[in-house]
Amino acid sequence: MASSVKAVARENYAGNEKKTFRALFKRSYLAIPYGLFLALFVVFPLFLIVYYAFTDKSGGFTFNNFVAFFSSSTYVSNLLISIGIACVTTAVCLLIAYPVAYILSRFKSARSYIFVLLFIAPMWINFVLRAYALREILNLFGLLGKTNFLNTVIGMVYDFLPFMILPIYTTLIKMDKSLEEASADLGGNGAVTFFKVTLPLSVPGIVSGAMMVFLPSMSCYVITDTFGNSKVPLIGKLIESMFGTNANWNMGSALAIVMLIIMFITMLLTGGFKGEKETTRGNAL
Amino acid sequence: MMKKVLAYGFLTLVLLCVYAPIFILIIFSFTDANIVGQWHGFSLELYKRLFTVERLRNMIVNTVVLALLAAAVSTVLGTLGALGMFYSKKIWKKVLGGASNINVINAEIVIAVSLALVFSMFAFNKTYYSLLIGHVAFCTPFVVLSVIPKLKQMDPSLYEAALDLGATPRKALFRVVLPEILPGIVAGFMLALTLSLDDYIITSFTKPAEFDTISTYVYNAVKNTAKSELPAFRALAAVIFLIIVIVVVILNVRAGKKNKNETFMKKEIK
Amino acid sequence: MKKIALLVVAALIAAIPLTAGVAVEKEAYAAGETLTLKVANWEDYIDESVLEEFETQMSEKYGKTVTVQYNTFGTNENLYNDLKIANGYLYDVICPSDYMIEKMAKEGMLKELSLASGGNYDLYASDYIKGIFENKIKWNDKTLADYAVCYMWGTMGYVYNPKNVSHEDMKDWASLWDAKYKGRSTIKDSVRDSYFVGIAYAKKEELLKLKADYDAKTITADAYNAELTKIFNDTSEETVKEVQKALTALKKNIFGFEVDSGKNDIASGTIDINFAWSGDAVYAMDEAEAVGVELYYSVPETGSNIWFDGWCIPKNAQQTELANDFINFMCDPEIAVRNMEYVGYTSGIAGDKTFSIDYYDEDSGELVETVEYSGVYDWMVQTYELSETAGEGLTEVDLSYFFGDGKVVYTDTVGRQFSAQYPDTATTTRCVVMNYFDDETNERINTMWENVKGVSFPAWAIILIVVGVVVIVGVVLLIRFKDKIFKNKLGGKKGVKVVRKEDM
Repeated sequence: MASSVKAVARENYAGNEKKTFRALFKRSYLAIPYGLFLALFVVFPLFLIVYYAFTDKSGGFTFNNFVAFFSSSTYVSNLLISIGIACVTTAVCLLIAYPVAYILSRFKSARSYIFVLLFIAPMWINFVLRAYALREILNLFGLLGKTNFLNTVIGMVYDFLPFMILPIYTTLIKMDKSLEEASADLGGNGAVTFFKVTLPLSVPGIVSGAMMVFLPSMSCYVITDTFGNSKVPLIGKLIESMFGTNANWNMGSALAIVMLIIMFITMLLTGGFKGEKETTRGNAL
Repeated sequence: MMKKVLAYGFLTLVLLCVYAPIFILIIFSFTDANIVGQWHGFSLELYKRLFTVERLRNMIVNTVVLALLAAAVSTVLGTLGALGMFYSKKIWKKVLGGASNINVINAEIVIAVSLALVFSMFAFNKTYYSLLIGHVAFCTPFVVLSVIPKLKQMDPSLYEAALDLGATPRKALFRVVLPEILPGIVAGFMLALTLSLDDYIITSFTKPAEFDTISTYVYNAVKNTAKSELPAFRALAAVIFLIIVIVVVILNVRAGKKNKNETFMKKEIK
Repeated sequence: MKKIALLVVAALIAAIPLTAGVAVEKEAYAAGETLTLKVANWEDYIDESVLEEFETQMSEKYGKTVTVQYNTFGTNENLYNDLKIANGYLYDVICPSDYMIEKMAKEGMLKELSLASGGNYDLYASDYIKGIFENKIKWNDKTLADYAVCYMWGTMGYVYNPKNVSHEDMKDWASLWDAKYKGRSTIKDSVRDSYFVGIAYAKKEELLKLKADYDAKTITADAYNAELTKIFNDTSEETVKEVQKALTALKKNIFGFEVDSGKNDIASGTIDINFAWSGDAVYAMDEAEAVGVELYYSVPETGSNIWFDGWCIPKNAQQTELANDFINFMCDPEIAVRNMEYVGYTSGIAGDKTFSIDYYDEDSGELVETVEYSGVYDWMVQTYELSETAGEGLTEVDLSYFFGDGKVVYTDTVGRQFSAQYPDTATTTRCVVMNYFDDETNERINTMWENVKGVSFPAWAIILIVVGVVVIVGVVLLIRFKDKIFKNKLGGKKGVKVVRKEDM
């Protein structure tokens, strides 16, 4: 099919009939491989999760997994704690990342992206290794084993900070600087300019950053194991153990569905990645 | 002035926090104690092991090759996807874009288990292919996200102009569009590489049993014993840090030159 | 930029042989030129030079190239799941733990072993270990010995720092609950290991009474052990509840649950008490010793758990003969000792056979010395510098249960590495095997464990939080919609612009 299209296209080209030719070759076809890939390895797996979540071990339809989830105060508390940790992590990440991104975006030289690189580069050293080292540092300060929630949040922030810095930085450097100048010209002082102009304009970056931090931090059980001494319950850990030691894929899938629902709610809240919100971590590299 | 000092101070503080664990790893890479925090006297044993023990070398090669392969496949798939999506009808743009973004914000554990469920239906479950697909699945959306903004920044008439001037669509794409979005593609590639290098959860759910990446080895070596190769990774951390420093210095020098050129040009114009 | 692209392409091309190599190997294997034995074991749980030797020996035996493909798994359950999905075709030899062997065997996932009588297992395995496999776990007309051969075994106990912890306290599991050691101890982040500690606490009175009976010699050692086995394997609903209560209380008193950080934490002094497998205990003591800290190992007196990992062959293994050869090979005293030296755990092999081991200098790689041993017992005596005759300041350690009659040694360091690696008769008498739980029990105990590890808010708090979250979500949604309406009123231009751009 594709080759015949090409043949026809070539013929037409030879005949210098560009119009027909354009009609036959659609650039949108380029997305077909990725579309298939997405269908097979992103969307289909999610449907499979739905299937497992609504079946029991023998394959019969059931709501029991969800009933079991919502009737267990441990599971629900676990979920709420995870949401709490994710909220705190996102907020702390934002508090640190925003000033960093802001300062970097004000750098005049081309060197600012080198600083950005400095924030991402640690990811080249395996996280599990860095986590063990950070654990030693917490131990040095006498925090380990005493402040499990705080330690978990520190670990999460350490892991996810780059994901917050990059989108904010990208939005800030893209921002039209003349708006700020205009604000200053109109008599707005630094704070007014920042809160009335800069901050509102960088909201898309904040939103993408928050989305990249929020859900992953609900599931990153490596961190609670290392920093919280496994004393901090995390929904991700529960899912992992359902697929691992408990060997209960159906219950695990039901838990995954709960996380998916949260994902869709956050998408709804933030409007997903629409329009200019497609600022990325990558742009800054 | 005060502001500048504050800004630099804050930046330095955050960077220091980010790099503190790495400095710890580097310090303890110069002793052969099994446990970080214990000092058995200065020794280069870990570096020796890093470069001589075959198992370690295999793991490092595995991790890097996997990351390169995954990043390459993701880049091709993602760039084509972004191009196609960008030129699609609105409805398709929405559907594909939405599907693509799922893995960006989804919890890693959910991606991992959903893939594990799918792979368990196929013969290539827990082979190199399932591992690669797993990595591609969570790297590609980031490539798409890097490329799309560049497409939006591009002048849409460029492609049409190329066609009007007699270029074939392929030529127009490769010679005109591709160079325009190349920075986005490169950024996407680097991002995919970084993500793949750092991943543990998805790898552990999709990898073949005879295959270990650095993360899975470090995390799974539960029964790690006196002869474990774990400490040698501290030396690896030091080596990677050195590479980072070199890259940063080179970029810095290049940026310095660029700056000079730019100021020079500005003067000329004046 | 092109250069970078070229480099990447070159790197990828270089990578292809790596993956292709696997495929080539498989093809050759199908053609019968190479025999590949697929072994699945724990990470770092074997001296890999032993595998090379096996390959050489077997290549000679079969007249073909024999290679070992060494796979690793992280947990018993992962191994089980992988085998289940692949219907047992995945590996030829596996090394799961006690309860998992039992579960797999009962579910028909394992093949019966066919080890020749007069083979290494027959000759060299310790009678004690054989006894456990043959007598402790039985069902229908089968025993565990039909399916598995012990690789490494050990006890569970405390590793502790005597500077901060009294030796006396470490004879009692209840010390973990003692407020004196608040925040100074860790237990395993594993439901089975923790369940058993919970029972030891919940059933303390019962266990003490039993011990008194045994001490007074009103019951035999066998009867004592049988009674202990019953208590520690009690999974009735009532007991599970008691254990949950005990463990919930314990959670508040401990430093944390750990998977593998405990042995490092105890060695570095972060904690004082670590509930550990004997093999890890040896490691922790070695590490601490290197920085001048003396740690001790103790198996509490009311009873403990004995665990083992064993070699077995999955149902659909393709290289059964070679797999049996492998198991036989692993039972050779020399191989067992080499693995023990590498892993630090205790092998189930006890027999005598003369062999020698070369020791190399770690830094220069030069041969330092070659030591000849007349068997595993001799290796132990030489390694731990034990005396075979009584003397002043020496404590008698009765190892006859493991090495056979008359094997009694004398040592001046009780409670250290040697005691962890080779517990004495008195210790093993009070150590019992934990059976696997059936699915229903398993679920009950897993739920118990989740309850212990999780936090459970009261119902009113949950409702309050949920309502709070819903309100916040609602408000944000409202603001978002408002925002949209607001934008539409004002910023029509921007919207048009975007649409035009997208439609192009």
